[in-house]
Formats: sequence, C-alpha cells, structure tokens
Amino acid sequence: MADMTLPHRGPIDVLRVPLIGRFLRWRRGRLVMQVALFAIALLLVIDGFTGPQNAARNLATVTSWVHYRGLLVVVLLVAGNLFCMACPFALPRSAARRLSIRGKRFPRALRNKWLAIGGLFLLFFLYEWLDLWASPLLTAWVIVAYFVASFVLEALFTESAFCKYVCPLGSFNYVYSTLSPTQIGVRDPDICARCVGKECVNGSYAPQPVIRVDDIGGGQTREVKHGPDGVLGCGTLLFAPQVKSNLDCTMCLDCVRACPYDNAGLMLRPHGRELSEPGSWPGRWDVSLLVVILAFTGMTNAFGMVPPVYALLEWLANTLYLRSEAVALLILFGVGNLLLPVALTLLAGWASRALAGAAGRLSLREVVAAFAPAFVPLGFGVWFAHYAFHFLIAPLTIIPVLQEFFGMPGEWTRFGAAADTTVISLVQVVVLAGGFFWSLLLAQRAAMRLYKRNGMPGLMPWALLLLGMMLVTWWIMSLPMEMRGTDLFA
Amino acid sequence: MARQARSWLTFLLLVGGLVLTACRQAEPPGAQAAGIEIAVTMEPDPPVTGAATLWVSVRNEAGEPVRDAKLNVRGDMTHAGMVPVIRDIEESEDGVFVVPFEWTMSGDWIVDFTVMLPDGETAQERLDITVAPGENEPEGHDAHADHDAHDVHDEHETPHDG
Repeated sequence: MADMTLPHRGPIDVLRVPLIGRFLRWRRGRLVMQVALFAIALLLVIDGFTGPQNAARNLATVTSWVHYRGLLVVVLLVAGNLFCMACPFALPRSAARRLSIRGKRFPRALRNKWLAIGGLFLLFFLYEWLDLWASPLLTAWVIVAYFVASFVLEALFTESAFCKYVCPLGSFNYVYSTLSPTQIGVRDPDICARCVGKECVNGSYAPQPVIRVDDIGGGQTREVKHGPDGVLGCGTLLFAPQVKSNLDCTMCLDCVRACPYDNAGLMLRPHGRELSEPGSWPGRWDVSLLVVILAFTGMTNAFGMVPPVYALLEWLANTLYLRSEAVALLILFGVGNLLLPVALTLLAGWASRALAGAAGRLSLREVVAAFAPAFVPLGFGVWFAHYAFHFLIAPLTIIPVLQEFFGMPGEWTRFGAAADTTVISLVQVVVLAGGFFWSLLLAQRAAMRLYKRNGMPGLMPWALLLLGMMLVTWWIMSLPMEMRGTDLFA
Repeated sequence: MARQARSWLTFLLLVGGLVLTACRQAEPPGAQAAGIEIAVTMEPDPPVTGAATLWVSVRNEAGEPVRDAKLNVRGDMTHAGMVPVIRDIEESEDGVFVVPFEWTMSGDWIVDFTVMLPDGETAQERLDITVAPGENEPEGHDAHADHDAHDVHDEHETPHDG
C-alpha cells in the first residue's frame, strides 16, 4: 500500500477546522443543509399559496426578496458560495441519478453562459413586469418552477445542466463568489497527476460495490472502493487540481468527499485573487459579457425603484404609442441590460486597443476578456448597496411574519426597528466606492499586463466606463426610493 | 436503513407542511359584520410622504354612524420587508375616526382598516394607495425620517372607497 499521507502545507484548508470541517466533509453534511433549506422553501411555498396576499406579511416575499438577498451578498463576500452549497433546488440531482433516467450531455451549442444571460434577463424582466416582490403567490410559483426546472434538466442530462448553464441565482452566485476568500483546491497536485480514477470529477458512486486497484507508479498500488454509498463527482465537471476560479463551482464539496486520497479541500485565499490572475477565467464572450451585463442589471434593477423610471416609461409609451407595459419594460431592460452593456463593452474594448496601439496584436475578444473581471467588484457594490438597503431598513420584520405564520399575533411594533439611515447610507457609499476603486485597480493591472508601456491610454476607456457606472449608480442611490411597481398602464 | 430514514423524512416533511398550513392565522379574525360601510378621506390628498391625517367614517346599513367601535389601521408598502405603520384608535365622533398617520416612503401602499364593533363583530376595508414623494422627501433611499407633527385638518373631501 502506498503511503499517500498528506503533509499539511500550503494554503489553509477550511475543511481542517474542527467541527465545521468535519461537518462539511461528512457525506451527509450537504444533504442536511439542503434539507434545512428545502424545509424553508416548503414554508415559503405554503405561505405563498395559502397565506395573506400582502407581501409585507408573507414569508414567501419577505424571505425571498429581502432577507435571502441581503444575507446572500454578505455571505458571498465573507465566506463564499454557501447558498449553492446548501441549495435545495439541487436535491433533484441526487434523485435523478438514483432514478437512472439521465441521458445525454447538455447540447454542445448550449454549454456556455448565453442561456444564463437569458435566464437572468427573463427573471429580472418578470420581477418588474409581474411585481414579483409584491406577490406571495407568484413568488411561490417561481420557487416551484425552480424545483421543476432543476429536476427536469438534471433528469434529462448527465451533468448538472441547470446549475451550470441555466440557473439565474447560480449565475449570480458564481460571478460574485469570485470575490470570496475560499476556493476548491488540492494540497498536492502530484497526487492528482498520478490519480487513476479522477474521482473528484467522476465520482465514487456505483450501483454495485466495486474495488479497483490503481497503479499509482513506482510499482505501488492502491485500493479504491466505489459503491452505492459513494458520492457523485463534480456536477459541473470541474477537475479539482485545475480549478482556478469559483465560476461554475457550487461548493458542493463532492470532489472532496470523492477523493480517495483526501487531497482536495476548500482553501482560503485572498479576496478576489482570481480576478487579477490572468488565465483564471475562460476568455470567452459569454463569460465576459455575463459579468458586465450583471453589473448593468444591478443598476437598472435599482433604477426601477426611483421616480425617473416612471417618467422614462411614460415618455417611451407616448413616443412609441405603446399600450403594453410588458413591451415598454422589454425596451427599457433590453436597452439597459443588454444593448447598453454590450455596446459600451465593445466600444471600450475597441478604444482601449486602439489607444494602446495593440489593434494588430490583440483580438477584441481577448481585450474584453482581460478587462471583464474588473466589472465584478463594482457590480457587486451596486447589488450590495441595493440589497443592503432593503435588508437594513427593517431587518427584524421576518420575526412578526413568522409569528403570524405560526398563528401568533405579530409583534410588529417590537420588531419594526430600522437601522439608522445614516448607517444605511454609509454602507452604500462604502460598498459602492470600495467596489469602484477595486475595479479600477483591477482594470489598471489588466491594462499594464496587456499593453505594458501603453497601459495608461489603454486603461482610459475602461476607467471612464467604470466611473460612469459608479456615478450613475450614485445618482440612483441618492434619489428617493419609491416602493412601487412599474404599473404604467393600470 | 437509509431508505427507511428517507421515507420517514419525506413523511415528516409532508405532515409538517400540512400542520404548518393549518397553523396559519385566519384572516380576518372574528365574525364579519354585514352592511357596514367604511369610507376614508385623507389629507393631504393626493397623499405625499410625511405626516397625514385619515378620517374614517363607519356607518351601518341604514347609513347611521356606528358609535363605540374601535379602529385599527395598518399601512403596508407593497414591497416586502418594510415596517408597517399601525394605528389603534378607540374614540370616534359621530362614527368618524380621526387617524394621525404617516406615509414613511413614497410608493404603493396597502392600507387595511379593521373596525371592531361593539357586538364583537368586525368589518374591514382595504385601500390601495400610491404615495408621491413629498417636498421634504429625504434624499438617498432614506425612508424613515421622523415626522413629529401629525397635523389634523378639518377638510376631508375626497373619498377613497376601496
């Protein structure tokens, strides 16, 4: 038997932390978290369908649109993609595997982020058009739709197609978990190089027990057991030693549990390290534009709650003789969430390349891919500022909502306290300004890396775009918030 | 064993779900009174953020003022997660309650009026109201500026029957 005992060296592995690490590594650890969130999802669906159709008094709306989102951005920043780790929508994955009805891989043409971009666009369009935040019933249907979509895709395809290519929540989490201080990694890459089964990606599950003897070099062998108690490999088909980014990582930790050499772990790293490391992301159009579009979507989502949006919609309706709110919103979001980010990205990339004199050397795709990570901190700042406002303005209202759900009188006066408005404003300023300067720093590094001596002129278009985005968001945040739907034609 | 545990877990979740559904507080509480008309007027009208006064008139089937009733007013914004504005008024004059209120933020509101009649029955009315930003609307998504003055005005003209 080979001595594969691992020395504890290199980055700190969160999974070595007593209690927490043991729980996370436990083969039922994720299931426990998923069942807990599944139970919460069940409560939301029950209340959404049967409770009062008053968003402020219903668990479905308060939990989904206020507390989940408020906590999500904090957890992404300080810990990592814990929601995907405990995602109840991923439960069907295991069920689908057990039912053995999975077939082919996801169609090659769809193995990218275009569907995810479409899903995000659709979700935020529906959010505004149907006023999802104001409708417990529709919110419950959204949750049910998530479960159905997840199960169907997991059942039909051999990989976690829903998580990797479709899920709007997952796409948001993937992009902004690139800022987080944790990432899947391995302690000794040499062990992975010698590993025969690559269980981290292939899994250790088999319908019948199987014992395989691996030749691990030097005339040494090792027994590797697969069986019904084994775990699935990485659902999004990431190979642990090659993971350079949190993009596509659901943090399910199946790679850790499947590794026969106990070589994979959840490593601590500097916040957002991958954003400044070239080659961490695939330099594809879909990935780059997803990041930029998500940042712009954060701006339009906030813009949807301030007075100028109603004036703009009215102007659109009068100018184009529109009689449909859906069409007006489609135009607004089509321009704000798709056309504008794509056009400005292409323009900035073209100008950057031209100013740096690199037109013949670098393709537009390469330039955009190099600067795309710079949109993560600012985009995150925009979302954080918006979500933090909703969360901090009445963080404890979930308690009386729960009280009423369980048949008790809700103590609204007792739990109606809001965070001081100065504190809320301060949080917004800090995350927005912090995100902007972080983005600027990343863009500057990318420019220097890409253009060397001509870095400064090459940086200018991107810096102007980031500055413009920050100022527009600042302006939006400085306007009085209007908690109403864009019900233009009511 | 694992299969048995999963079956139990599924069973418990289903039973738990049904129990929780049954737990849900029924709305509205108490028997519903028939023929009670609740009419609401307000100042300022149209409403803007800040202090406001609501006049809630409660009349029976014969159109006579209902006396010795109590009124609960609860204003919620349509967006989840906002603090409601709640007022309990125990005194009325000729069936008209004067309610010092406050629109804490511009946007869409759902205002529920619940009248507890002397015989224990209740009557309810719900209004959907859009509040515009006031002149003193605080800057920066600032929803909870304190408004100390709850001015009571004499004019109340425009009825907002739900």
